[in-house]
Amino acid sequence: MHGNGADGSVTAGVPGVPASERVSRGGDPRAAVGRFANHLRAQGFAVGFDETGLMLRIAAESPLSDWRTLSSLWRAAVCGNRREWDRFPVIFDNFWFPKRTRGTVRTTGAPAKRRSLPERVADLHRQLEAEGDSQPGGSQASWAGQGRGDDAAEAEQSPRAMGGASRNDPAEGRPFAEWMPQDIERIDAAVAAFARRLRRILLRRRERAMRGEVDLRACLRSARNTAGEILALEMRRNKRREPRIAVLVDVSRSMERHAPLFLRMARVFGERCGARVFVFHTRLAEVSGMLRRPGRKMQERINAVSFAFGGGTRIASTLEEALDGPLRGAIGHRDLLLMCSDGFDADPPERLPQVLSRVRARGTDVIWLHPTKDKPASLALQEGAASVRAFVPVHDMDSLARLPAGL
Amino acid sequence: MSASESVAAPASPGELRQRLFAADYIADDALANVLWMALRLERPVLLEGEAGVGKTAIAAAAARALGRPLLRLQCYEGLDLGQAVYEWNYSRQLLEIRLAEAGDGDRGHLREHLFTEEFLLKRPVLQAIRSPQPAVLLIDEIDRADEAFEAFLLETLAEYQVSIPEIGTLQALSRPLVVLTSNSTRDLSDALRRRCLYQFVDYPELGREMDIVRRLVPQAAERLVSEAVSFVHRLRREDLDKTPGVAETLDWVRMLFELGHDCVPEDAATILSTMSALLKTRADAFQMNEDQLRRLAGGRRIAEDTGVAGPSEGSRIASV
Repeated sequence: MHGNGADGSVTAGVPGVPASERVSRGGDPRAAVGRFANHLRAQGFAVGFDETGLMLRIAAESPLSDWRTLSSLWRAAVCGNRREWDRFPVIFDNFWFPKRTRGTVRTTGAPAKRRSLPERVADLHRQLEAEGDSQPGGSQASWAGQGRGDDAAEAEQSPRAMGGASRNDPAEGRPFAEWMPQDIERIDAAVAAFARRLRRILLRRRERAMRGEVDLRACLRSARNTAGEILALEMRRNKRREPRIAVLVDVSRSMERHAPLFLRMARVFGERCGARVFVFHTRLAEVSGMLRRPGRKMQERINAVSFAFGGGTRIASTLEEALDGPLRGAIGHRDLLLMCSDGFDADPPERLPQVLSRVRARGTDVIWLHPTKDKPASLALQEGAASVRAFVPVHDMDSLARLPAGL
Repeated sequence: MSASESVAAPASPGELRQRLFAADYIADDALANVLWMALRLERPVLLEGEAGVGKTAIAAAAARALGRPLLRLQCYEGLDLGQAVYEWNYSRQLLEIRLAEAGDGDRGHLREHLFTEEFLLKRPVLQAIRSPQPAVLLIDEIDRADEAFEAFLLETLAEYQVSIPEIGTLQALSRPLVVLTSNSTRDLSDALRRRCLYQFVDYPELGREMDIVRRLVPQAAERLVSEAVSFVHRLRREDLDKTPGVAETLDWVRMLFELGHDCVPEDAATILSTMSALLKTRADAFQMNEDQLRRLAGGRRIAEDTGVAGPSEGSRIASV
């Protein structure tokens, strides 16, 4: 659905829309709505052809005593989650009332020109009345296409612009270790997408098993309602159980720069997959509950957890402590243990292979996520590599995007 | 207003808001606008928000306000078509077959009619779209249902129709107001979201929550209501596992009223003994102690000191 409205060919193919109307962007309110939709897309909103049509229908239907009503209705039409919900009012004001917000809010994309929103909507009502067209959906393509602003045209071109100017984000392609703290928040979306995909990957095998064989006892039971005649076959359905996931994040000094990233990842695992999250350096602490609570204090908690630690690392001891303590009976066959560490261990090198083999003996897969491009080279981990199903680098956005394939 | 009396659709968001008020729901402008537009455009509404902010109550109030029957589908993992949409009434079909075998029934007629709507057991979704009178269909906690069920709903939400292999497509006789609620325990698909008008339902503002409590617990003293709601608002800013919602505020005010209080008690130990109405997890109950409660209740005394609120009975006696 994304970007349908930005397709110029749609406009060209619409009958009944005069060419002059398609060209005069300043005067046609439908074009203005299209440009606003385009602006929303530039801000990351999933606004396509249908949503733009809905916005126009709303503008045509609503009794517009004031623009706030329209703002709240358009908000309901184009937002799909809380993040968008919270951002919408500022984007709306900045687009339609740029004078009011000039110098206070900075957004990207094309600003509104010339006429105010109430004027444009009044124009729209007039036009609809004049055309006798109570269903603006009939000419949706025209305004959706007209809304294709300059920034949409640019978006189709290479992100590299003339004269060395570029739309490429400087953080893209750089290792996470070089990111500024405020950039780290941007990985949330990538991690969330990954967690969704991961959940599907992990459930796939079980879903296949759900298409099981005929359940004879259930058939006989259901046949009681039909005088003993079996009319419908009951299939055996395995109880659907999501794989349990435990995430252990190394917050020792050597992981100081990477721990916030891994904790954010772990939080998403906790939210989406119900994972249990632990942090460790020379001791172990469970932080699942702490990370699960939403709100403004999340970052403070993450910082508190990652900065309160910061010493040596005893991976083998803390993993063993987890297996004998909180993870006793909590992970087993087909479950997943994610170790987020650079692999530097102060315990004797022979201990880690022993503990990892205990995890494997439970039938749990161990995935080692390391913040370096190359596989950790510590002796302990080299010896324990046989018990680790995969070593997956998580050092930049590309590696994060490739993460599901590595699991 | 009984649910069976159908009432004309509201002419404006303001009228809908008034009707919701009469149905004991105090809606803000944004919510009234969205519900009104959902009725006008015949679009489903997706309400998302924390548990306890009144999402389910919106659907019930809308049904009362519009004079429509409320059909509720509570979602859970494993919910299937048989429980949500329709099921064949095998017993009745078998009975028909037996009757035809026993008498001189017309077998051709039987063959033609054995798989017709007559032999369907209609579940809430089908009931809603086959009801001659428009209904309010509440699909509660859609995030608990499987993705497969969510995908099935797309047809119903977009086209107001249900496809049954043996019969064909059953179109809606009347278009219901569909209200979906979600607690955001998992991400809903974009396909579902874009078929709905979206409304994030947040905890109500102080004034609106006071109005809600006054409306639903009219017997409580005005001072108890204002102090209790203010207290709950301060409590919501604390780092809690489960933030208390409107339902919890109502419970707490009712509890304090039943205990004979006409204001929030001064004594922190007394407040602590009633915290079970507000704190619903062990961790929250464990971290809340008398000192914290004193701090949270302190706002009232600060207000008294600055002359914003009148002094409580206890402090008046003390000053005398």
